[in-house]
Amino acid sequence: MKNIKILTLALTVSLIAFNCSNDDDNTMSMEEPVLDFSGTYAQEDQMGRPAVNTVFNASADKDAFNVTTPADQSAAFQSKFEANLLNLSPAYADGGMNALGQDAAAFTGLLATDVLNVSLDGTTTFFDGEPANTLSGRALADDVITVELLLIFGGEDFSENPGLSNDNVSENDKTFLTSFPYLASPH
Amino acid sequence: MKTTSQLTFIVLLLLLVSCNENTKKITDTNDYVAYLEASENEVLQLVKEDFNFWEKKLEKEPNQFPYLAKAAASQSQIFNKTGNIEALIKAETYLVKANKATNYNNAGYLRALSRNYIAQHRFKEALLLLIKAEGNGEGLKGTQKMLFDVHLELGNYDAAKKYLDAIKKNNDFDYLIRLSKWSDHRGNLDAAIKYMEQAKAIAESANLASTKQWVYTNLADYYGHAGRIEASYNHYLKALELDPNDAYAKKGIAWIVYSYEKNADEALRILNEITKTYNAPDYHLLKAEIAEFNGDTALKEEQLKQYAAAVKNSFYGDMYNKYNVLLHAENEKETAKALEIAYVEIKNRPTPQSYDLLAWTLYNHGEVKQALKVAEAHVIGKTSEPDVLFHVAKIYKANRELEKANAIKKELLESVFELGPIMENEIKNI
Amino acid sequence: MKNLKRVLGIGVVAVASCFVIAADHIDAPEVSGGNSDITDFYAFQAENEDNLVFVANIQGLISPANTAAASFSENVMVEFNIDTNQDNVEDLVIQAIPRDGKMYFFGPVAPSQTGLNSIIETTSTAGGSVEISSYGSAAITASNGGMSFFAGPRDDPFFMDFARFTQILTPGDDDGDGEEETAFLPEGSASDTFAGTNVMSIVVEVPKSMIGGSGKINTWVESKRK
Repeated sequence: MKNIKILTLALTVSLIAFNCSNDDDNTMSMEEPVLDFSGTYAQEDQMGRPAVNTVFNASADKDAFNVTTPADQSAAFQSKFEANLLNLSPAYADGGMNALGQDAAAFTGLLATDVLNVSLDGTTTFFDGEPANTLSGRALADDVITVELLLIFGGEDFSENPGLSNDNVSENDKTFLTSFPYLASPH
Repeated sequence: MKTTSQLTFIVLLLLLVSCNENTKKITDTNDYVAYLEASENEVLQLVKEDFNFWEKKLEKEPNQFPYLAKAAASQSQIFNKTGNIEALIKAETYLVKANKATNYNNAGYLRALSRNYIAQHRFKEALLLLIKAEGNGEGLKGTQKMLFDVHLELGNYDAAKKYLDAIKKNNDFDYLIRLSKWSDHRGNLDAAIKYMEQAKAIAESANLASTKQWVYTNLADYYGHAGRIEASYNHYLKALELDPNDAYAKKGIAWIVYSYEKNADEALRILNEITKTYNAPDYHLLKAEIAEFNGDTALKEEQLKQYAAAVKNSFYGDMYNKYNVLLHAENEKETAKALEIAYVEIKNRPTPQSYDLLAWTLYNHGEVKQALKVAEAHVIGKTSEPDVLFHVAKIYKANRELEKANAIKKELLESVFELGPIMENEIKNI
Repeated sequence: MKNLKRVLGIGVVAVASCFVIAADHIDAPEVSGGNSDITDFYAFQAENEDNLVFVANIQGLISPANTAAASFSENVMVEFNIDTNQDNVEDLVIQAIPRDGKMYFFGPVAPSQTGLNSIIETTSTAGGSVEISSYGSAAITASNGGMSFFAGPRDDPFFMDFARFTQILTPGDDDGDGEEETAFLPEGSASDTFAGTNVMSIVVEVPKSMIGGSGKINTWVESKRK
C-alpha cells in the first residue's frame, strides 16, 4: 500500500510537470548581459585626511560634514574646528602654534577642507621629517595618527604634552607589498 | 491487476485536476528537501569562529571597546541562526559594556543596544536609548528609522508617523520597508505589498544576499496574507536559495503545507527538521496546533508541556507574553495569571493588540460586558489583525451584537490561510 | 470524521497561527550604511614612479571568519575625486562600481557634474574592470591603458590605538575606572585596534600623466548610493 502511494506521487509529480510546462519555456540567452549603470548616485560618505571628521566634529555635525563638498567645508566648519581644537589641546593656548608654524586658526583652516594634498613630483607621505615632503600624500606605512596627534598636542617643536602626542602604535601588523595591489593579503 | 487499474485511474484523475486553477497543491517536497537536509550549517560555524576571534582579542586587550560591539554582533547572529536566547542576552551584556566604555555617547552603540532590546521586546528601554542617540546626532537618519520602529511597536502612532516623514526618501530601501510596515499597520495590504516589492527591486539591484533574503521572507508573509499562496511559497524558496538554513522561510513553507494543503504530517516533518538546528518556544506551539488538527492528543500535550518548560527560562522576559496570555486565558483556573500578564503587556506597550489580550481574558472568564467595553475603547477600529478581529467577533457575539459579529466573520473568512484550519472552523461557528 | 470532531471541539492552541504569518515582525534589518562607510583613503606614488596609487577601504573590522561573506553593494559607487587646479572642486574622477562579481572603473574623466550627485561616466575612454578577488585565493589584478585595478578583501593597512584615542578625545572618565584618560597607554600596553582584521579594498594605479602630470593635486574619496 505504502509503495503504491509513493509511486503514485512520483508519477503525478512528473506528469504534472510535463503537462503544465508550456509556460516556462524561458530561452537561455547566450549573450553577455547588458550592464545597467544608469541612475543618479547621491553622496553618503567622504574622506580626505584620516580621522578629521572623528576628531574635529561634534557628533551632531558628522553627518553634515560627510555631505558637504570640500569647497564648502571651510566656510561651514572651520570656526567649529577651531573651537574644538582650543578646547582639546593646551598647545594652542595664548597664540601657541604647531610645528608647521600654524596657530589654531591656520591649522583648522587647513584641516576643515578635508582633502589629501598629493605631490605628483616624487615622495608622497603624510610626514617623514623632511619639511618639503610634509603633506605630500599618504603612504600605507605613514603613522598618520601620531603625526596628527603631534600637530594637535605637540606644540612648536613636538615636545609638548608627550603623553597625548603619540598613541604608541607605529606600524601595521602585516608587511605591505612593494608592488600592486600594495596592501597585504587578508588575515 | 486491480491495483494497476486503480493506479491508472488515480493518475488520470490527478492529471485532470493538475492544471485546474483550483488545485490545492502548491508545494513540492523536491523544491525544499535539499534545504531540510542541509546538515552542516557552515554559516553558523563561521559566526562562531567570528565570535571566538573577538573574544580572544578582548581577553588580550580588554580596553578595545570596538571588539565588544563585534562580539555582540556575532552573538546576535548566533541568536538569529539558532534561536538560542542565551546568545541574545550575551549580546546585550557586551553591548552594555561597549556603551559604558563610551559613556553612552556613541550613537552606533546606542542603536545596537536598542536593537537588542527590541528583539527582547523591551521597547521602552529601546526607546530611551534611541532618544539618547537622537540627541547625540551621529547617524541621525539611522536613529530616526529605529525610532519609527519602536514607536510603532509601542503604539505611539503619531510619533511613528512623524519619524516616517523625517526619513522619507524615494527609492531608499530603509524607507520603503518602513512605509510598507506602516501601510500594513493601517490595514492597507495592497500598499504594503507594493512598497515591499519596490524595496525588493532595490535589494536585487544592490545584490546583497542578506538584504535580499530579508525582503523575500517579508514579502512571502505579505503574499500569504493576501491569499497569494503560490507567490508566498516561491519567495520562501528564494530566501532558502540564498540561505539553506533560513528557519523562518522553512517555517513559512510548513505553514503553507499545513494551513493551505492540510498536509499535517509533512508540515510536522518540516518543523521537526528545523528544530534540529533552530529552536524557539513558538515552534512547540505550532507543532501542538498541528498535532491537534491531526487528532494527536498525546503529541499536542507533549508540545504544550515543552513550550511551558521553555518559556520558564527567565531570559525570555516579556517576549512570549502574548502567547502566554492566550494560553492561560482559556483555562478557567489560570484567569488570574492571564490577567496579570495582560496588564504587564498593556503597561509595556499600550497597543490595540495588548488591550485585546485583556478583552479576550475577560471574555473567557465570562465577563463579556467588560470585555466589550475594553475592546470598544482600545481595540475596535484600531487594528485589522485577524487574530484580534476573531476575538472581537466572539465578544460581539457573546454580547448579542450579531450583525457586527457577522460582518467580522465575513472578513475573517478571507483570512483563513493566515489563521489556520483550526481557526477556520471556529470562525465558521461565529 | 473523528479528527474533525476533535478539531471542532477545542481551540486552545489555535494561537500558534499568529506566529507564522503575523507580520508582527521579523525585526527590520540593521539600518544600512555599513556598505558605504569609507574607513580609509590613501594616495601615494607607485612602484613605477610615473604612476600614482589610490586606495579606498570600506567596511572596517572584518574578522577572518566574516571576510568570505563580505561584499560590495552594487548600489554603491566609490569615487576618487581629483582637483588639479587648487580650488577643491573635482576636475577628474575615477569611479568604481561593482556588477555581478566584477568591479568596473570609469576614468580618470572630467565628470559631467561635480558635487554631491553623480552619474556613472560610462562614456569615459579611460578605465577598465577586474574580477573581485575572493577570500582565500590570490589577489586578482587587471590592467588596461596603463592603469591597474584591484577590488576585494585585504588586510586593513591602518594602525592605531582607536579605543584609547577615542577615550582621550571624549572628555570625562569614559571607561569607568575612576579617572579621566589623559594620556595614551605606554608602548607594550597600547594596542593596534585593527590588527588581525580585514577591509574591503579598492585599489587603482594610474599614470600621473592622466591626472595632471606634475605639481600638486588635491584628492578625496566619496561613496555614493543609487
